[in-house]
Amino acid sequence: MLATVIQQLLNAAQLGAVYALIALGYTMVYGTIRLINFAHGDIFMLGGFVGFLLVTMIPGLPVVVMIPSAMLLTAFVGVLIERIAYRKLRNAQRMSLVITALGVGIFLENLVRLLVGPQARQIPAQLPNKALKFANGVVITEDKILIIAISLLLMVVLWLFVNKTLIGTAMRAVADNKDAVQLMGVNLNLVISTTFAVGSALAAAGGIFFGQAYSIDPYMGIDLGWKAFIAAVIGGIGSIEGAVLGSFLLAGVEVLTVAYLSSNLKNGIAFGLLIILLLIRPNGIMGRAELKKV
Amino acid sequence: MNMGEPKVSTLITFRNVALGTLIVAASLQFLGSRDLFNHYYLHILTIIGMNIILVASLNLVNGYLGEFALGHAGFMAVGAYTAALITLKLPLPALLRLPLSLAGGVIAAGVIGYLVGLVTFKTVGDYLAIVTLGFNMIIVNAIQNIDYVGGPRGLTGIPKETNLMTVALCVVLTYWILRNLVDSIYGRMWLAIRENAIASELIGINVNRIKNLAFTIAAAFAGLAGGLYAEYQQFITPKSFDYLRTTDILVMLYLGGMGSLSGSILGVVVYTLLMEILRNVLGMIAPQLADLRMLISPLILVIIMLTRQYGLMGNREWRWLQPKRKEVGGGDA
Amino acid sequence: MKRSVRLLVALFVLACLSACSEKGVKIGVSAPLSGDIAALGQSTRNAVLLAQEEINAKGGIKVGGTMQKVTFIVEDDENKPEAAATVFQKLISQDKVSAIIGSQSSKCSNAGAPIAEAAGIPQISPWSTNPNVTAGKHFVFRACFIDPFQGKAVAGFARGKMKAATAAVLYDVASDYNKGIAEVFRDEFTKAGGKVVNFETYNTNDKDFSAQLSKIKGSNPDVLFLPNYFNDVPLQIQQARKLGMTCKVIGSDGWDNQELIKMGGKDMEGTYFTNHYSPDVDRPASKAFIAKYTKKYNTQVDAAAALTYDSVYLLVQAMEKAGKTDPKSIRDAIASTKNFDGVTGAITFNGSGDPVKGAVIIRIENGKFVFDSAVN
Repeated sequence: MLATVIQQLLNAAQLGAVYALIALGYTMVYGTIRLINFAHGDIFMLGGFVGFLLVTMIPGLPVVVMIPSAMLLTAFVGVLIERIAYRKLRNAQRMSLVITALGVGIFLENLVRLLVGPQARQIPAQLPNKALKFANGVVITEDKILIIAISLLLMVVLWLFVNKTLIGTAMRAVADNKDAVQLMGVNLNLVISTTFAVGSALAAAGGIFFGQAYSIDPYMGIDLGWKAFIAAVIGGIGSIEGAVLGSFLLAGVEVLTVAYLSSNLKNGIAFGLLIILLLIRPNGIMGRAELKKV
Repeated sequence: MNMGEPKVSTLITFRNVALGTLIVAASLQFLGSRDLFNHYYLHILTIIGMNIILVASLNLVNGYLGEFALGHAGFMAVGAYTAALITLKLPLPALLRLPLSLAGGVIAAGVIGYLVGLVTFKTVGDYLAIVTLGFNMIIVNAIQNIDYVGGPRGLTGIPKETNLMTVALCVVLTYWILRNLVDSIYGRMWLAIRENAIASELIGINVNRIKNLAFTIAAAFAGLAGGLYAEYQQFITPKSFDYLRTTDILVMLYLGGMGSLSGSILGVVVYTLLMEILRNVLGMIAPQLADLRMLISPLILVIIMLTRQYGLMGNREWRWLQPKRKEVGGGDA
Repeated sequence: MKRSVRLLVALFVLACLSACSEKGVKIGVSAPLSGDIAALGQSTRNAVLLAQEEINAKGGIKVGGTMQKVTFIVEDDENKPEAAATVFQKLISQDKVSAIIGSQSSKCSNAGAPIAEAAGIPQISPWSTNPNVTAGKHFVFRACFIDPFQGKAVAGFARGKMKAATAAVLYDVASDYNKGIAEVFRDEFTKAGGKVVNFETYNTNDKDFSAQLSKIKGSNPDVLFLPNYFNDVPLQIQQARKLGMTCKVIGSDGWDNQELIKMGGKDMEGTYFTNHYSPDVDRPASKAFIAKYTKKYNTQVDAAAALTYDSVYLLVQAMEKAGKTDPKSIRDAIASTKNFDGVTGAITFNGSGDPVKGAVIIRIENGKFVFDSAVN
């Protein structure tokens, strides 16, 4: 009995880790420029495909080289998209940015479909994946542990980056008051580009892990992107700790609903619980209630 | 009487445009039934009509009220399934089938909208977005689990009651109601809430109640569109009403311009025609190019948003949808 | 801005006019070229274009004494019912096709069927398995067997040859394809004396099934039934094996695609699934098609391609038999088809739109699909 609970919690942890890697990008971009980047789920997908292409085109590429390279390339694409599609609309009404982001997302999905093909692919096993069996029947594969560990590591690195470095501080400042920051002589464009770069890199890592543990296809970013967005909001959009918390919470609710309630009603129950959560804490778990001046 | 105004523009009043639309719709319908008008074009126009109702109703909440609601397709689903069940399961005389089923769809969607609104407006901003999205998912998941309506396999065999004429009638009705609402005190209150909710509260507006009013009305119209859709396509499935459908509606809404009823029409027309034109033109040039349709359309969307930030119409209205102006000085002596 | 709009509209009008002026026989195809089953759409188009090449190389279709070239107009239904309805309407009213091949998914076929039926245009769906698609209609046919038949075949095999006493099912609750077969299997397996210990679901696009599989592992079933598409199944089996589940696995015709082996690898060994035909059975029609397809497209044949190819030739031989290209005659000719020798088996229509067709059980051995037994 306990074994199953532990098993399901581990399942939830892995799913939560993947959600978190995507949600962090959402929350960072939202924090700085108040944009819900609906193309972010597709950046996640793109990262997975970049990793896949690197592995298939350069046989023998060691995983320690492939992952950072894919992250770098995807970060570059993220910055490019910001430069071309979002920068001009930075001061426009929010909804235009949202629609533009949606358009960019659809474009990426179909671009990958046409260039690589619509089939689902799996990134060939790069991480060790022997199944470890524990005494009480709990089974977990090594790659699952690695994914959870690496994801948590990346989150810690991100936290340090945002809270302990100069540019991280600049990012937090921009999230607080974009205009004042410019008056202080900070290069706003640089800060925002960095935000996109870091967010995209994280999403790419998520995509690669996902592609190894599961599979990648051009449309996988849609569902996961929305889930991650929901997780980020539940946690309190704009808060990094919140994004992580929200992701693990969402994954936990989903997995436990399937395990102990009903798999048919997973979406219904999971979202029902989340709505109740939002009613109790209308600004998300870690969100700060914004004071509005009249 | 205003002197010097060109005669033509005074003819473009709401009433005349509405009448004109109905006449054109009836004629095209008639020609179509005699096979003198391409059914494909008829189909496109009908789809445009239904989408206009969807988009204009969402405009009430996302445009005039200024909220970010992400669950509109859920109410469409409620209306669609209610209307479908009424026509399928209740023995009704043929003439009453459409009006009764649509009424049922409207009421059901409105009730669900009201209930959802009660919960939703306890949150604001992007959190509200998630709550509405959550309800969309809950509604879809619930339908998937109700075997009586076919679950994921959908409901087939719905009688075809909708045609261009009925859709045109509903569009005219929708716009008549929406325009009057927007010009009324409620419209003023919605705009006030959008601009400054706290100030509105201070001057005595019951913000939550007025917000829910917009939400309920929007949901009811979504139900209308859903009912029309069910009795047109003759087949509905829960997947047609998920967040992807909501996204489609949002795109058309913001493309047209928030807070502009004219924009809702324009946004739907441009988006729909763009997709069909691309389908036809690309296919003609080369079959392989047809693949590019899903690449070119989002690109065009992005370009439009980059060049017209506030949507095609912004928040302007065409003359015939503008508020009725009182004659100043002179009256109709 | 205004100039480009005018240009587009002009091109649009031109396209519409040119569509009307093409000669020969026109057949419409509604395929999911984009969207979540785009891979199947690709196979559909491949099969159609291959057939078009073959037919026109011979001079065309022989209709009533004259040879007429055939043109297939392939449109994208995006795997969405609304788009399918628009596609059907366009093919019928704009392109004026004599018949339509499509769609693949039942929900798209269900949206298009009323339109085809009302217009009196014959429709052959290669792969829609929902019984509703053809129910009560005269002009709608399909080239595949339907869920009730397949579900029964799987249940019979599981109880019979596999000697399974208990079974667990994992299927997509949001998909029209999976749920039908899952339910029939449950009913038939129970009727045959077995017990279904788990009936779990997931949502389309889910990739992680650990929660459901952990639950299933707890009941220790003899066999796991996965009536899902080839992109989900390898993940499900992989995750099951990683959790330590050793039960036998059986599936349905959604497995038929080489991606199953590519992604599943060794985990797929020893599993079974029902299908329309077996590539290793010595049938000249199958072998010829497989050879031509793999040569032209450098990829393996899958169920979508094979069924589409059969749909095309079903249609073509009906046209030749009818001697005319008016829709009613074509429809009658299709309805009276007996023992059509297709790639996916012999097809006979007996008064309804559903063909009388057998199924085969395939076993996966050494990374290949191998014939195991036949079901009638």
